[in-house]
Amino acid sequence: MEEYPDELRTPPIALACLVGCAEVHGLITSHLHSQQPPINTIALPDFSKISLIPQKSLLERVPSLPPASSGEIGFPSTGPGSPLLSLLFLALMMYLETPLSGSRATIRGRNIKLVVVVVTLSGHKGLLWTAVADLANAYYRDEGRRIKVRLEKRSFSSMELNVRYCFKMVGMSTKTPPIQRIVEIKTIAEQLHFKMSTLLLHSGKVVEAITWFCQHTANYRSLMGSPEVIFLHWEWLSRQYLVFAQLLETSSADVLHVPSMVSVAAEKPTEWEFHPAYYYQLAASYLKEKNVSLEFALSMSEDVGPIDGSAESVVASAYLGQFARLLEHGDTCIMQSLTDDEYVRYALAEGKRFQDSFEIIALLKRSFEAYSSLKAERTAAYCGLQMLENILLGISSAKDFIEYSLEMAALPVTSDAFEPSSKDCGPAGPATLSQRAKIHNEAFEVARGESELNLKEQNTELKVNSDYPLYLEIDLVSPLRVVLLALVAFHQPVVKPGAPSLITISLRSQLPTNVEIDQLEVQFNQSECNFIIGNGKKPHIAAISNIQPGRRVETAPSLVLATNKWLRLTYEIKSVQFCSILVMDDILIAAKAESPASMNDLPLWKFENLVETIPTKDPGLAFSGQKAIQVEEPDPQVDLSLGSSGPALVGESFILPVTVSSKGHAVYSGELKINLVDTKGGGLLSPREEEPFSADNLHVELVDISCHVPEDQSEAPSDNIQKIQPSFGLISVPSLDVGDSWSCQLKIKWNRPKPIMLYVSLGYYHQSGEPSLQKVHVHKSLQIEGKTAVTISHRAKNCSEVPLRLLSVSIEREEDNDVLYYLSMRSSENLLFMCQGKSLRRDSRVEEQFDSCGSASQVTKHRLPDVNIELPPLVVSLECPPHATLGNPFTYSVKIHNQTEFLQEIKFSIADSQSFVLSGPHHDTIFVLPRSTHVLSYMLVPLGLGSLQLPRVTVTSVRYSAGLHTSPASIVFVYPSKPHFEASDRRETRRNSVVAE
Amino acid sequence: MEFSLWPCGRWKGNGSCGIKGKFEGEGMWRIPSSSSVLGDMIVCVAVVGHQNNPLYIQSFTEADDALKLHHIVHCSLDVVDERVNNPKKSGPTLNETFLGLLYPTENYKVYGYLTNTKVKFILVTTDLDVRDADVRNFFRRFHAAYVDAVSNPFHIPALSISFALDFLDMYLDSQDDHKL
Repeated sequence: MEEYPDELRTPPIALACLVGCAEVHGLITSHLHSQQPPINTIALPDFSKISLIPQKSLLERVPSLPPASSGEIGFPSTGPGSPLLSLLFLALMMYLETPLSGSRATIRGRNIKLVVVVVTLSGHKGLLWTAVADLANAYYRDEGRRIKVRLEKRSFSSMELNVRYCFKMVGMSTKTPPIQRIVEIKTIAEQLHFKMSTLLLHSGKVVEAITWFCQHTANYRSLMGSPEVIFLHWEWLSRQYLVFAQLLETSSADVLHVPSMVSVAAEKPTEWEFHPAYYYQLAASYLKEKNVSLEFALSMSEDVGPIDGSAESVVASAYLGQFARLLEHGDTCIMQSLTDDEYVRYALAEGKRFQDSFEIIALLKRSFEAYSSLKAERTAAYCGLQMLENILLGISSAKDFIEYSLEMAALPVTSDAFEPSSKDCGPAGPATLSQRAKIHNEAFEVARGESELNLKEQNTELKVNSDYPLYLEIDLVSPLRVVLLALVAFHQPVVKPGAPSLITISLRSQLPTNVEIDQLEVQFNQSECNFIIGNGKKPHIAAISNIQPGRRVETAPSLVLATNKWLRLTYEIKSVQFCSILVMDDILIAAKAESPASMNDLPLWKFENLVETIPTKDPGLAFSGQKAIQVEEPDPQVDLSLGSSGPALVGESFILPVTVSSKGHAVYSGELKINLVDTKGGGLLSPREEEPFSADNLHVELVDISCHVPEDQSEAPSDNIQKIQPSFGLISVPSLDVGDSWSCQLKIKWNRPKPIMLYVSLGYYHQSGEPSLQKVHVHKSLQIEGKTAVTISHRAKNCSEVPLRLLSVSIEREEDNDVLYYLSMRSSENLLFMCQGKSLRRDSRVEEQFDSCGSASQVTKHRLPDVNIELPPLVVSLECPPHATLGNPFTYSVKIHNQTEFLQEIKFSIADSQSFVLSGPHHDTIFVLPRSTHVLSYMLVPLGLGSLQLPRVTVTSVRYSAGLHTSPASIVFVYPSKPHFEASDRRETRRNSVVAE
Repeated sequence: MEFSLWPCGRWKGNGSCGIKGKFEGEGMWRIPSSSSVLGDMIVCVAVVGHQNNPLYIQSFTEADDALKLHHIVHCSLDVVDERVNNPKKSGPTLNETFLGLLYPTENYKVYGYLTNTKVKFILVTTDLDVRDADVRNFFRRFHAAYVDAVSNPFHIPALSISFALDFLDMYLDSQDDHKL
């Protein structure tokens, strides 16, 4: 139902009718659509279209209408108000019960809201409204009176609310020509009917909907219109049935519950009318009627002349059911109305474009299925029969006829084991083998051109010209597979070129009688392998056939296809995929070959009693045989050698020579592909892939390929492909004769130590100028370790197996700092260097340059470890005189200097000593202010002589949990008495003397 | 009202036999034995046995339509089956033999009648405004004609009625006014 416009198929939505003032229709329509819930609109171009209202009934109903208005339909003569009256009555008729017969007129205005919106550009409002009011009053008064009378008479029983409208064609006074007018009326009626049916079905009033439909079709069935375009009427009628069928089908499920009624009441619909199938069937039947009349109309119109191109510019007008010609004047488009002649021509052209045979079959099929599900077998069978009739009507060529006939002839005949009951088959009785054979022979007679095909329905005779045999193609989806099934099986899946292979061709037919094949041609995709199998019993025919010279011809003793028996032919061939063409009598039948393994899903395979045998003699081959054979490439006779020179060093440009040397094949259009692959499977890039691609990220890269082009090969440089990517390289190899060789050098650079796999493959043709030949490929691979050459820790060490010459070692700073470095070098191979200094900052690097194998020097950089240097937080110093004198006191002080920004808690203690008498605090906890010094002073009097150990002092920082014990080395020398130092005396005396002097 | 089963002797041979009937009164029924009659008329009648085996089928139109009408009659048996299998719940029409309108199709209306022995009468008419009462009347008379035909002592039940009708023809021929 989705193909129909929303406003028609949706459940109750208000409907507004717009008449006149076409320029504002778009505005109003979009506004009404945007309302919640949306309001749909029907737009009419002008008031004259209201003349669809039956004038007579209007006059009957509105006796107070001024006599002046009765002269012309649509009231054009009564001034500006008259069209509005027409509009009002159109609306009234549409929304009020208005029986056509006029015998039972009742108004049931329940739940109906009628709003007439008057849109005018000019004045006349007073007159207008007066007219409308008068008319409405008169109408309602009249109707009210009638209802009253009828209610009193109790002459009607149903109080159902019905939404109805009435259209009748009266008068022809408007601008629209008569043919188009009927089309327009019917289109509008269709739309209204559609809407009504939707509404009724939505509210579950199925009976009303069906009654409504019957009335609708009965009204218009007789309105056939002009005989030239009567096909439009049938098409319209068919569409009514189709639409109603679809509406019925999509409406709620309980609708399908058919109330059983043996009721005699004629107005009630019969059971069948509750089923969509009924409407589908009739839709198909009317569509068929349309086809017949269209064909007749087309045949009549041919002598009028060819349909001119103007039909193409005819478009559907903005208004429902109208057509107009689109004229382009520069940028502006003008809609020009059509004359009836033009319209008929247009309708015929459109009708010619759309052939409905498929629609008819589709409708009948739906009907057939629906009736079958209803268990209405007879009606379903009738639909099926009509379907077949339509299919047969579609037969336009002898080829179609033969195809259908052969398919029919090949259908399996149910065995006679069980008694066929009359229920299971049509009036002609069960299918028999003799009937099938008759069909078979008839088809072949037509195919040979011996008899003519006479189609009674179309009065056409189809004859096959025996000089041009029919060509039937059977592919995997063709229904004619039952007629002829061709299988091929290669006995080997793979074969070397030139080596022979066996092929079995199996043919099978389900045709009822034997078919003798004149000639069987097997075609491969390599045409030189094609061959023909002739029938040994008909040598003359085989000779006549056009056989190209040099074509292989085989002769089979008998080429007879018996019913359901495999015809097996095994031949020796050399090649690839193929299809086979069979010449069977005078019909060419091309059957796409299939593999026996694909037989599983074949329908006839499932009839076990029919296929007792397998297509090939070898049962294994029946399931594994392939329809294609792979021809391997010949063995390469070219050597590809990779010169390996041990491990590669990081930073080194590793040179790898590749040599191509021909051993038996000449090399043409050779291509050398080089691939670098990480042996661990990872990429060659660094893991930081989000970084922009740069050479630094590559662990290993192919830098260059340098090749030596032989001098005698003067190929244009453009022929030499050379593509180099970091992990891939492609280079063309010049043509080489047998025995020649060619080499190139790959330059690979390792940026990180990494083992890689190098794959080199050479593809070439061993013969020049034959692109159909298969390329020969040679593959070689080599694993190469990439190693770090020099390791630097405290020592720099050559880890490689190659002697390295150290050129220089340097330490560089990355930031300016007051750092001193010392380097020393001991040997060129084994290098020891030391670094000393106050501090080493981070980011320093040791740079080292070495040279390997005489190639360019390589710099290895090594980052030195970071060293962090801090100032001590606390500095403790002991002060005492270098010597003392027995009995003389001296000062022993402990200075604690706090270098931090924090208050430091310090515990100290001093141990007693036998050698000294000590005065001062023994042990305590003190606080040292930030950036300040605390001094502990002790007065000591030595009691002994000689070197004496000073009392031991222990200072502990609480914050750092660090303590300081004065070492045993803090020794003071005690003299027995104050020593006399001459030197000093002398110096003193001299100084004194100087002073004295 | 006049209705006559009017086979004219050589039923199988010359094919000019037919049922001729006429309803007089409100509506006019014309059952012509040949075409070229304008207006609405009965185009086909059929008698179908209780096993849905055809006993008698006769169409009164141009030869082209005959097969189509036979199909319509055949299809209508589906409707009859459905009516019989799903009887109406309320039972006043328990013994109702007239099945009423079976279905409208294209330009035809198909009516049915079911005797107590499950023999079906099918009527196809092109009159779309036919009244039920007229059809009912026609069927009653047709039923009477059928009963007369099968009352023939030589009639074998459930066999094609044509044989019986031959005797019926003779019987009818002996009557003066061909009235049933």
